Order: sequence, then C-alpha cells, then structure tokens
Amino acid sequence: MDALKEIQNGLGMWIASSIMVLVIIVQCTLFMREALKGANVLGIPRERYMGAMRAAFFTTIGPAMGPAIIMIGLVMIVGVPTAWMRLCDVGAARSEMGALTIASKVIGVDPNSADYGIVAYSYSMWGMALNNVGWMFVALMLTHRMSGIVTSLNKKYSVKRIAYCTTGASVGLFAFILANQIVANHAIKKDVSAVAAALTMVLIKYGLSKVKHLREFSLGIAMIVGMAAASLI
Amino acid sequence: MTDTNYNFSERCVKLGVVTLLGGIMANFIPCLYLWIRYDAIPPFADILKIWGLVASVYGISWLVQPISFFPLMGTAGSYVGWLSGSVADIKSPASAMAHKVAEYGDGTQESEIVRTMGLIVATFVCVALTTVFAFAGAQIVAMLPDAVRRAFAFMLPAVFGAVYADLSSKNLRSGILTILFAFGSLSYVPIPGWTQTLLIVASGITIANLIYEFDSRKK
Repeated sequence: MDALKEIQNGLGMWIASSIMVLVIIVQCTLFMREALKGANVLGIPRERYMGAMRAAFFTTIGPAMGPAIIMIGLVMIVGVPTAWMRLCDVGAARSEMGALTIASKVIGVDPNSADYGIVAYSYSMWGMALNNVGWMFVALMLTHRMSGIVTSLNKKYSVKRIAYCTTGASVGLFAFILANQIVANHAIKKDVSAVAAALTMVLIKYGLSKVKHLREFSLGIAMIVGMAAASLI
Repeated sequence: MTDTNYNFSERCVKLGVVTLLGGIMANFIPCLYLWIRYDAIPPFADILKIWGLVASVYGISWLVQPISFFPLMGTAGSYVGWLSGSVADIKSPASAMAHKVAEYGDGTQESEIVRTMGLIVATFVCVALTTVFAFAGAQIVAMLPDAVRRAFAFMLPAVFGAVYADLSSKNLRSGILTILFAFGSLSYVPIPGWTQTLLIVASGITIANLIYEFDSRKK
C-alpha cells in the first residue's frame, strides 16, 4: 500500500502530470494573446474587456472552490499529482471517480480496498485517460465545422430525448457502482455511508436551496457526512 | 486601425488544433510513464474493455456536449473549454457573464473576443485554485489522524450515494427503476463484472428512453 503511495506521489509522476497543466496554461496564453490582438484590431476599448474579465473572475471564484473537499478523497486513491492533473483537465471530479472505479473493477478490484495496488492503479489511470480523450477528440475533429453540425442535428433529433439519454447513461453507471459497493461488500457501514450522503445531498439541494454557494460544496459535504456516519455506528 | 479581413474564429482554429493535439498527447503521458518506469500497463484487451466501458457511459456526452455548448462557447471557447473542462458549471457562466458586462451584440466578433477573454480568466482561476488545493490537500492528508484516515474506506459509497441522489432528483422514476435493476442484476445475473457494467448502463439508457416515450405520449 505504501509502495504504491510512493509511486503515485513520486517526482516522476509529478513531471508526467504537469505536462497537461502546462499545455492548458500555454493554450490560454496563446488564445489570450490572439484575443488582445483582436480587441486591438476591432477597436474594443480596454475598459470594456477589462470589465468583462473582472466579471468572469468573480463569477468563477465560488464554483471553482467546489472540488476542494472532493480533492482530498481523490488524493487518497490516486495520489496528489494525478488528482491535480485530472481536476485541472476536462473530467469533473465525479466522472473521474466513476471512470477510475469502473476501470479497476475490470480486474475486480475496488479502489477503496487493500488490494488496490499498482496494477489496479494503472487500470484506473487508463480509465481516466480514455474517458477524457473523448471530449478532446470530438472538439478537435468537429469545432471548425460546428456551425453546420448544430443546425442539422437540431433538425434531426429531439434535444430533449438526447438529454434523457445522457442522463440515463450516467444514472446507469452510478447505479452499477453504487449497487456494487453495497451488494458486493455486505458491509453495513458502507450502506450507512451511501444513504447518509444521499440524504445530505437531497437536503442541500431542496431544503437549503436558498443558501448561496452551498450547492457547489454539496458533494464534498455529503462525502464527509457519509464517512462520519459510517465511522460513528 | 480597422482591418475588415480580421477573422478571430478562423485565427483560433490553428491554435486550437495544435493545443488540443498537445492535450491529447499529454493526457496519456502518466499512463506511459507507469508502463515505461514500472512495467504497469493493462493488457491490450483490457484497455479495449476499459475504453468500451467509458464509451458506453460517456460516449454520448463526448459527442453531444461539445455540439450543444457550441452556440454558447463559440470556436475559440470550444477549444479552450474542452481541454480544461467544467464547461457547464464554470466556463459557460463565466463566458456569458463577460458577454453581458461588455454589452456587444450576439454573434459579433467583439462578443466572441470578450467571451473568450472571460473564459480564459475562468480557466486560470480554476487551475490556480486546483493547484492550491492539491498542495493543501497533500498537507491535510499527511496530518490526518488514523481514525479519520480509516473513515476514507467509506468515501466511495458516500460519493456515489450522493452523486446518485443528485442524478435521480432530475428524474426520480428513472433513478429508482435503474437502481432496482442494478441490484437485481448484480444479485441474480451471473456474468463477469465488466459486462455487468455494460448491462446496467444500457438499462439506464433504455429506462430513460421509455420514460421519455411515456411522457411524450401522455401529452
């Protein structure tokens, strides 16, 4: 177990993970340069775009804090560098958790168990990589001819049906993982953890819906409540 | 100063293609590092299985999300958004806010430029905060007492229970039916784990579709 932690948090893994973050920063810098050039060419006054950026900054601060708590959970499974890289890039915390879990389940190992060693970890790493590449690949192939695609697809398919299908696929995945956690383990503490976290989520979503910014932390808070409830019984 | 031939979107395509290609390569570097340094890599057949599983779950989203957010994100925004993610909850609100404050008309180049600037600011904020959390998280994990550390054995059920409650609240009937199917299938259908995943994901999609049919017929 500790040997795995050493690999996960070693210098090599830091370097391997930092390349993605570097690409993101380079991309943003290049696009910002082009946008500033464009603003100059089109005569957008400085105060106007500075105001826009300030507004974007303040809109982002709250929601960007959301993954703070869940990050600790991700760190416990895949180590610091991987958690850092994966929360910076395209996958959200919960789809990363989903992908790493179904991938290590291919060899029948639960990421929370003592059997989770370097082999299962490599499965999880491939799970996250293959998941994230999907969005990047589609954006790469389609963005430059997107205008036409959007119009033709909206004619052909019902937007509402597609929304049902994407939610249905996620519901299916998390139904599998959740049921598997409960059926396979026969551990009452795990059931309590799942139920307590689920109730917390519902309470935050409906009962405390007026408290601003609480929803952004809901997953992290639910995680802590679930873990606490399971430890206390 | 005005150059009528200037086309912001067109100029961003080249930048976008090159940087996304870079992102796709960077995405696999940790996997390759584990392979080269520690000889830890799933057999090719298992990599295909993993791909099949994530594609069955997220394949529709891979395709549908970049298309459906395109009217909001624009060309430059799509390249930036689908590398660094959080498009629905963080990036598209930031871009919309920038648009609102700058008060340029929809579909103008000026609007796309200020949107892109807003989006880039949002991306920098996310990367900066995530980096702070990563280092803080590492410190916190190191300081955790054993009792709390043990509690992390119950983390995944908690996360998945909460995520499931959140997803189900969008459509309660599909949530209840799918989890019942999952329990039944895991308890009584003796097939290997990864086919179990496929079966239950397929049931989630089918149930959602049936509910869609049912609801649209009622109207």
